[in-house]
Amino acid sequence: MKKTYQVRSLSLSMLFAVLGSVIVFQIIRIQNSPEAALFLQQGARYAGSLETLFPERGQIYDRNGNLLAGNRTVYEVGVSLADVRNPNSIALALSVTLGLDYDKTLNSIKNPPTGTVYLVLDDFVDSDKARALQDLQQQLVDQYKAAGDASLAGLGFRAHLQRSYPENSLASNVIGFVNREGHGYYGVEEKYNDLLAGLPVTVWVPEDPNRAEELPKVPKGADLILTINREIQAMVETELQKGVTDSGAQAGTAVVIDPHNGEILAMASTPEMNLNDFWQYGSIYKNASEFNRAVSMQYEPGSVFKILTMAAAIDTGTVAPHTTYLDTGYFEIGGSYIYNWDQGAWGTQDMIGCLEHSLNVCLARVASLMGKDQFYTYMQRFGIGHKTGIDLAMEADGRLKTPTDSDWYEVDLGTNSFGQGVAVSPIQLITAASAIANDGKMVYPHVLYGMVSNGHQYNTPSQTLGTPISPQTARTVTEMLATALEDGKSVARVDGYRIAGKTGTAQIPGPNGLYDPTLTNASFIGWGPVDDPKFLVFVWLDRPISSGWASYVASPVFHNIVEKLVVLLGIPPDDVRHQLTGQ
Amino acid sequence: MTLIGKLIGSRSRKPATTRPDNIHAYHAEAVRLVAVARESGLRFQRQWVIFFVAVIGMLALLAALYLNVTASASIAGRQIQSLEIDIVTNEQVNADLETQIATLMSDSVLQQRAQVMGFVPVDRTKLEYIVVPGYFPSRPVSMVSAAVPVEALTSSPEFNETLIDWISKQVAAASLPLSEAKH
Repeated sequence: MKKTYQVRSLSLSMLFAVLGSVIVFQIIRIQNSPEAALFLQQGARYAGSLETLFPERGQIYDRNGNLLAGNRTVYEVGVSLADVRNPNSIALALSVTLGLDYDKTLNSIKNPPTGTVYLVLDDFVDSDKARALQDLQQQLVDQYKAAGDASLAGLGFRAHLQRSYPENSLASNVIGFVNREGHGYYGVEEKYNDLLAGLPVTVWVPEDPNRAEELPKVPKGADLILTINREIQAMVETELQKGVTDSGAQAGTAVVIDPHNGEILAMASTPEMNLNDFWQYGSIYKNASEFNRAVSMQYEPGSVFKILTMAAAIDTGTVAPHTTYLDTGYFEIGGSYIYNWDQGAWGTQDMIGCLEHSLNVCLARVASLMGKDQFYTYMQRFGIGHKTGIDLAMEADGRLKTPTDSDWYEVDLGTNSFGQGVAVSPIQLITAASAIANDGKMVYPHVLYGMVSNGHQYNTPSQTLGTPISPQTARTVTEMLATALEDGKSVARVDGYRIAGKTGTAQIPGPNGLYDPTLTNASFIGWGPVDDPKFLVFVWLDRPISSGWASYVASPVFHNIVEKLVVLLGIPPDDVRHQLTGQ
Repeated sequence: MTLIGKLIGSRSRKPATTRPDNIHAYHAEAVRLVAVARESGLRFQRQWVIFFVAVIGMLALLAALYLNVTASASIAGRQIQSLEIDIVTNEQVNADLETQIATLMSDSVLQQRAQVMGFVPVDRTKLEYIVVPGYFPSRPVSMVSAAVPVEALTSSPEFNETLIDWISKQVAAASLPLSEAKH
């Protein structure tokens, strides 16, 4: 008996020893097998996941801290396929709440791509709709609990941020927009996309709580503070739209800038676009340059260009304000004749009368006296034909033919002197004119006031692009323009404020190079108060119908803008200002 | 069988066959049994038992400590993950609320509300300008927060420094001249 037990015990011991040895052997074999790496990979796959943390896109504010571009919460709606109990209910709920196609949704859920665990059915769903779905899901869970059929089980929601513009279309041409992939287009959104977007960080997130670590702090994109003043922007947009409607113009542009430091207070361009509906871009604009005409569109400026010619002539000493000449109604240059806008002869005129009546013959003669070298040197100093470097996307170059170009002819000197045969963008013209309004110093136009990053604010310093003319010349030309407006009783004037300015009516060249006899570009550029300019305003109406003359369509828009601008900027009438300054 | 008899096993059973009939005999018997037990290595066995129990106790203690620390770490890890989700959610909610507030205070909405309340745009000819001593025109906004940014808790040396690092730092600090030592 005792021996039997001993045999059994020995057998069992042997059996377990063999089994144990086999197990140990198998463990060692598997760990050293060719598949070991694969097993390790599989294990690692489920040990955690790589997640990319996208920083919140930086916000955009106006100069007074009003939010122009922020972020709002939207939801990605999907289904966890393993948890789905009733695909029909999910498809029905999504078709009713989100407007998705019932059949397509049902088919997607029932026939997902191979290997799919989670299927995204819709994205960028408003929080209201997502909340309604979540409520419905909870209600159905409660109702179907007894029957064991959670109707919307498997439906999942993932919140994320989407760009949102609280002011809708206000300053749309300056701000630009962000598409659903998070990339900025046009304006500030494109120009400063890298700053606003921040840097995404990819991290390994372990499933094992023992290995959980604090996720790295992903700093949000930089916040931008613009030089734009929201109230002025809204006012300028309203007045511009009114001007466009009243004149029947195809489009319009208006810009308000501080000539001392180049800060753009308002920049409007029609048509505008509700930035929250950015997908309508294609139906609103025919080409990219229409989005912000002030920066991206170049045109022949016409008579507003005369202020630059006159400034160059005064600075070179070619003429003085009271230099006179006999206007015979035409001027021959390069074998061609230059005529006045009315084809008339204006007799003896001085340079103020020349500007007041906008005489082409006068400016062509002055440019001819100055000589092509000096004229084009000054135009290049004013930055004509070159980008200003404004911090907005898609700035146009403009075009200034010079005597070194093969397509330049002698007559171009005459036509260029009064703004024909030369192409500028509005911002180029504004920058050039800022030299006259700012004692000869041409300022760098910009819309970025400051940037906030990591708790620090970095403000943009004002920069001077050059000094094309002397301070004395700048003051002289300003005075001449102010006198011309007063003598001509221009509608651009605003009672109580002395303003300098100039109209510009330019014919539009057609595809064949000939000027259209009826269509014009009507513009006005002006600044004030003359003794200490606080604003420079530019208005351009493209192809006005009610009248082709800038003095009839652009000057009133300038007047209306300045009348409200002085209130918003708190600029008292000149006499009151002088009185207050004296105190 | 006596207790000592049970402990020492068969080798100490032989003396139990004679039963002493008085107290002195019992005492003599006990003394003899102790002597026998000493000779049979009882002390040696007891030490091993105590050692074995102590080892088991230590192992149990270590296991308990390990489990406790592991469980605490797991709970802390889950809390970190949960808090991080909360942080992200709160940041999204903050951004969302800020945008909602901005929408409610947008220029068009404020203008409409002002009109409903009977306000009209000011006419520049009706404005009166006065000198206010000490008044400075408003300047563009400063968006810098006055709050000092808080560093992550785990960036403190207590969470990153090894014992060796700490000792090295202490040694380095101790070896500094008094004039350079931080007070």
